Amino acid sequence: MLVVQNVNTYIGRKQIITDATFKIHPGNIIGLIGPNGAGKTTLMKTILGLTKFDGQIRLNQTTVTENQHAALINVGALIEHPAIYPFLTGQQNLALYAHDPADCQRLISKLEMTAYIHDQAKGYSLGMKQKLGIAIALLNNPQLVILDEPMNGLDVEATIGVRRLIHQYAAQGTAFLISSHILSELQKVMTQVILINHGRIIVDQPIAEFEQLHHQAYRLHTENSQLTVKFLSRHHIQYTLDGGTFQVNPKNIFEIQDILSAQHVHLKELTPISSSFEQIVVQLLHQQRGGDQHHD
Amino acid sequence: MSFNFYINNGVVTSIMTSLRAELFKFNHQRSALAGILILILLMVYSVLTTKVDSTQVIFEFGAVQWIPIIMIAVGSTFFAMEYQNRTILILLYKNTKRWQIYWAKLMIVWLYSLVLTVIATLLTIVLKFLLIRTPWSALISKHQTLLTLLTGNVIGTVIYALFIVTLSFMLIMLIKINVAVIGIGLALGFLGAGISVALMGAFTSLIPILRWNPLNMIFITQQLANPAYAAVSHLSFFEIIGGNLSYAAIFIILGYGLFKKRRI
Ligand SMILES: Nc1ncnc2c1ncn2[C@@H]1O[C@H](COP(=O)(O)OP(=O)(O)OP(=O)(O)O)[C@@H](O)[C@H]1O
Ligand SMILES: [Mg+2]
Repeated sequence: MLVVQNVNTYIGRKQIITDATFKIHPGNIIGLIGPNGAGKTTLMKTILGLTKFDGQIRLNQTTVTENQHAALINVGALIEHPAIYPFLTGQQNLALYAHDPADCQRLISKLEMTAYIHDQAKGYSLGMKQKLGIAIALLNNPQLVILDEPMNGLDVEATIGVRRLIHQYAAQGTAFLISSHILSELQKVMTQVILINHGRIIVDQPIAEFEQLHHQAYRLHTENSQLTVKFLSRHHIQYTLDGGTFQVNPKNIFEIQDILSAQHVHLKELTPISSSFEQIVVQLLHQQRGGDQHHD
Repeated sequence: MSFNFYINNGVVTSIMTSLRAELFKFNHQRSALAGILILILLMVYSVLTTKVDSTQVIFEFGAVQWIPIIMIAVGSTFFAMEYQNRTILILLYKNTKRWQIYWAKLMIVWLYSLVLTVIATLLTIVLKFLLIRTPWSALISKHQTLLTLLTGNVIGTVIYALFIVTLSFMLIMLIKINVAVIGIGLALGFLGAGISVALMGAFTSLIPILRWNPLNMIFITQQLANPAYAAVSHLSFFEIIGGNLSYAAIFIILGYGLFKKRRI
C-alpha cells in the first residue's frame, strides 16, 4: 500500500534521512523506533509530502511529492503535537475534517471525550488535546495513520483505549506507522519494527522475527555449578556466571547439552533470555555505533 | 451541528471548501470581533475628543486611518496562528495546492476589511445624523458633496485594504512574529504618510521615482475623496489606484513565494 523507495530527505542543505526503503501493507502496525534526532518525525513529514526529498513515495500506486498530495486523502496524521485550533471546540476541530458526522461521533465516544467535546479546546489538558489529535488522525476511516508519540500525556485508561482503537482499525485494514519512545507500549501493538538511527533504517522486520533473531543469550542452570564451570572452560565455551546462573551464547547450546550430559551433570534450566525489547534496541544501536566508528 | 468541509475534490469546489473552512475559523477567532469593537471604540473616542465637523465625517471619524492598522493586526494573526497551533501541518498535507490556502485566507481577510468599512460607514452616517447639521448634499470642497467625498473615501479604503492585507501576509511570512508585524502596521499607519511627504520634500528632484514608494500609497484613502491630495502624493487618480494594485500583486507574489518555501 505504502511504498517508500530510496528516499533522501533534506532540510535546507542538511541531509536528514538517507536511503530509506520500506513497505507498509494494509493492517500492518509499524513501530518506528530510534533515538532523539534520529529522523522519525522527519520521515513522517516526508511521507506526508511536507519536506523536500528525492526517491519514490507511492501510496496505492499514486506518487506523493512535495506538490502532489492527492494520494494523501486517506491518510490521517498526528505529528509531534496535536494540531488544534484553541478557539474552536473539540467538536468543531473534528468537523473541519470530518466527512461523516456518525464516524466523528463514534470516535468521540470511543475516546471518551463526550464530556468536554463542546468546550473550547484552549481549556483542554495535555491528554485531552492529545486524544483530540488522535481522533483527528483517525477520522474518515483512513487507510494509513501516522502517529508521532501518540501516547504522550495519556492516562492509563486512555492509553488502553487508544491501543484498543489501533487494534480495531488495523483489523479493518488500516495501516499504522507509530513512533514512540515508550517501547513497552509500542510492543503491545506493533506487528513490525523499523529501527532508525542517524537517518538510516538499520532494522525493518516483523516483530516475531526481530525478537527471535536478536535474542542474545540463553540462561543455564545446572545441578552443579562448579563442575559446569570446569567443563565449559575446558571446552573453551564462553559464559558469564551470576550467582548460580550461567549466561551462554545461543550458538553453543547444543554443544553444552552434549558435554554436560556426557559428564552426567543435569540441566535444571536452559532458556532463551527474553532480553527485553529495550535491551535489544540498545544493543543494536550500540553495535551500529561501533560500526560507524569503523567506517570513519 | 455538523459541517463538512472536505467532501468534494473538484478544483472549484475545493476552493469553495477552503474558503468555507477559513471563514469558519476566522469567525470563531476572538480577534475578528475584537477588531470590530476596537474600530467602534476608536470612532466614538474620536467623536468625544475631536471637534466634530465635516472633515471628521469624510474620514469616518478616524476609521479611514484605523482600518489599515486593524487589518494588519488581524491579518497577520490569522496566518500566524496556523503555525502557532501547528495546524498548518494538516492544512498543507490535506491540500495539494498551496496557493488555495494562501488565496482563501487572503480573500477572507480582505472580506473582513469590507465588513469593517461597511460598519465604519454606517456608524459615520448614524453619528453624522446625530451630531452634524450639514446636509449630505452640501458642497464641501471643489464642488463635491459630502456624500461623494464619503464614497470616494470608502472606495479608497477598500483598495488600500487590499494593499494592506497582502502586505500583512507577506510580512508575517517574512518576519514570522505577529507582534512585530503589528508594530510595523502601527508605524505605517501613523508615520508612513509623513515620512513619504518628508522624503519627497527633501529630494524634490527624485519625486518622479519617490512618489512610487510604498508609503505614498496610503494617500489613496484621501485622494479618491479629495483630488486636491494629488498635490501631496504627486500621483494622479489612476496612478495611485494602479500603484496600490501593483504593490498588492507584488506582495502576493513575494508572500506566496515565502509561504511555499517556509519550513514546517
Ligand atoms: N527544521 C529543522 N531545521 C534543521 N534541522 C532540523 C529541523 N528539523 C529537524 N532537524 C534535524 O533533523 C534531525 C531529525 O530530527 P527529527 O525531528 O526527525 O528527529 P526525531 O527522530 O523525531 O527525534 P525525537 O525522538 O526527538 O522526536 C535532527 O538532527 C534535527 O536536528
Ligand atoms: Mg520526533
